[in-house]
Amino acid sequence: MSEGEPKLSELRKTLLSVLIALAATTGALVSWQASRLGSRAATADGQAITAALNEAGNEMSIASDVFLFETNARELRQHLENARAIHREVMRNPAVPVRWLDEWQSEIIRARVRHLQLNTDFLKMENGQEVFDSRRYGQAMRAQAASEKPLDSASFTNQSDALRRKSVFLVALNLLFTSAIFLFTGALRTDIGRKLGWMTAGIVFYACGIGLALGQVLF
Amino acid sequence: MKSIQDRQFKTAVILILAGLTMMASLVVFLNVRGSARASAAVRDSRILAIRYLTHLGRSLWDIAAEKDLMVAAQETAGLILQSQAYEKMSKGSQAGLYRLTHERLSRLKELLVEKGRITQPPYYNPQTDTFDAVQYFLDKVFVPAAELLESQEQKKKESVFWDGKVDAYSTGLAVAAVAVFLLTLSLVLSGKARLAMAGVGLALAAAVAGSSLAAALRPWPEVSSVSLKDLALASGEVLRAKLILDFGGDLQAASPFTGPAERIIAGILKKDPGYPAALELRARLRAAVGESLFFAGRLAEGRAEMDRALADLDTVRRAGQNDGYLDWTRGFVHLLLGRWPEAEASIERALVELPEQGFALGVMKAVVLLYEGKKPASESALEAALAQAAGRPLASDPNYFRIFVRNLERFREISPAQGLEGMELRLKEASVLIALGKGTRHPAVAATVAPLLFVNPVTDKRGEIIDIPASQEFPASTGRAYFLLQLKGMSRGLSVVRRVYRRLPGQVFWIEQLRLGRTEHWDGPAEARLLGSVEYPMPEAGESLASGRYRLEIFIEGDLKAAGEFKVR
Repeated sequence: MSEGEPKLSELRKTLLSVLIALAATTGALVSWQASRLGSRAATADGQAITAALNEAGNEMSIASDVFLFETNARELRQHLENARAIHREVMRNPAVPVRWLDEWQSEIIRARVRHLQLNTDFLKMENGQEVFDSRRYGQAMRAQAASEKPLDSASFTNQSDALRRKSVFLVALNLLFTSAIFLFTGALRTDIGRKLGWMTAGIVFYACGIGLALGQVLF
Repeated sequence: MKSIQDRQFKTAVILILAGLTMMASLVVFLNVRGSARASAAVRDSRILAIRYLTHLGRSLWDIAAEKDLMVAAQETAGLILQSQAYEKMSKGSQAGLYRLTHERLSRLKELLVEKGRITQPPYYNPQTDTFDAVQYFLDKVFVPAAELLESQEQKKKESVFWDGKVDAYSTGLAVAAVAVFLLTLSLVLSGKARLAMAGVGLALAAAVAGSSLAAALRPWPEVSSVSLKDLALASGEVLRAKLILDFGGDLQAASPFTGPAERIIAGILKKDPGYPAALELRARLRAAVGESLFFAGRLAEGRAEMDRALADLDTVRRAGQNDGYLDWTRGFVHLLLGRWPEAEASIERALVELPEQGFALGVMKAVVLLYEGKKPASESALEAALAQAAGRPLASDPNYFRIFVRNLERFREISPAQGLEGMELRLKEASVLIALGKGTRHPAVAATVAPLLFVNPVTDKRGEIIDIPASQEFPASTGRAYFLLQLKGMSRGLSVVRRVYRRLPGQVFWIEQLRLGRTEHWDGPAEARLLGSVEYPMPEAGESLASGRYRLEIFIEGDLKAAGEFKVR
């Protein structure tokens, strides 16, 4: 040891070495936890994509059903209206030929066929006419599909984004741990003054890092 | 003294090593953050791609439902017209019955109209009883799809951007590890070797710090969601304008769409200057407007507009974006401006990028080579393009053929060259054969067609034809333009295709009317004399031939056998 250099007790040397080892280990643990969170975020990404595919299939099926039912409802409405108009004229106009009665009957039969092809749970009345409520049908089918399997991709993307934020934050905490190691290393060197200050600052950085890491992991 | 220096050196190196560790942890943080952003962007891009496909799938049903409604309304309108006509022709109680039918059908049509979206304004005009199915398609299908696709494209670019940063950080970390090794080595070495190791280690650490800082400071040029929406809207306006121009309309007819498109794009570029997709769209719009001005004889204005389009394309290319479509537009603009070598080079580049578009690009290349005086090369380019069209019918739909035939006619007017007429005939015949699935070259056909004779049949009260006087002219609002078709040497199964072209007022070229074309397969005697008619698919619905000049062409097995012209007043 040369002249003028501040002396360092063996106890303090040991303490600093232990602190360096602790900071390095904590940094490694925090990185491991960040990596785990990253994996969970990737899983949530996959679930979000699967949910988007489920949504797609469900939406296609709803769209094709709505098309079918709306077509039937429209034709039912037309046949009924036509039948009513013919019947009105048959009743009040003696000049109407007999074949109009056949046409009236045909329209009633066609209307009945269309009515049978409709999903009657979703009919609503509009100006005295039965109309297929495609909006309510869509909502009901979406709700039904959602009760069978998770459909909302947004919940998975939000979950994944939150996990990634945590993961990045934990990785950022390594800055505090490496700073603490830097300060402890400085305090170990005998040719640097204010050893207590370096050591205290290192302890503060380390404590902050641990506090923040625990806060992220626990809450 | 030496011992003190040695200690000081070691202290310095140890502190540098500790600092380097801190820096490395900062780079790791940046790396993880970049990687997280890239992963999220990849995920979002995939979800947007799924949503885009879902939108297209759903839209198919929506469009089918609305189209059904529109056709039903059109058919009912036709029946109403018929009952009105019969009402006028009848008397007494019979006329009363037709009036009742007419009223009943009108009520049914009202029911249809009030249920749909395409049957409501702005897509339905009750005054003219017409539907704007194109605008419906653009608003409900194209614009939302364009927005989803552009958002997906942005996410894709974002993931590439963040991946680029991650690569820079990973490389930095690898170099930092080498620096740590060299600095640690300097602690156990002595003399010049120690200094050299420490020096190189320090230099590497500085390089890592510099490159990581540069990567970290590079910002992601994010495009606002408002601009993405506006771009989709502007794409819709540009497509509408291009459809009008492609169907033979002039700039005046397209101006309700070109004006708003220009304004929307200017707004986007104000918010997000240098946004490549907006510049590319503006270039396409300018090229289309320039082309239209050019063929309308306003050469100076056309050239100016096309030069502006080229300037936009160059800006996009300088920004590092080139998807082949830019070269396509560039090639076409150079072709119009008569810069053949530049046109050829651009088309060649586009062909490399977009081999699946070999038909459209190949025909353009053939035209350029013809103008350059390289006739054999032009012919082989055209044949290669047609072979590709036969192999990929979806990339060479009738609309493409129609546009190319129209362009060739325009070139013949503006800049005649020997061989253009032959090229046009070759394209017409090939388009017929490809549509029939019979290759691109017609076989030798023995059948003959006499020169076409347009006639205006005279009927008696019972509707029987009593005379067929020749007439090249038909009255306004004609539903059917009749012609006599005299065939000889026919055999069973021969295809008889007719193509109808119209020349719009003030235009110097024919534009094919796809809905007036027909394809039939012969099942009659070897010789026949038939009364045919040029008509829309539903003349009963009141769809009549618009005023103007028409050209009818008859192809047998893809061989153009007869052509004739008529006029509708």
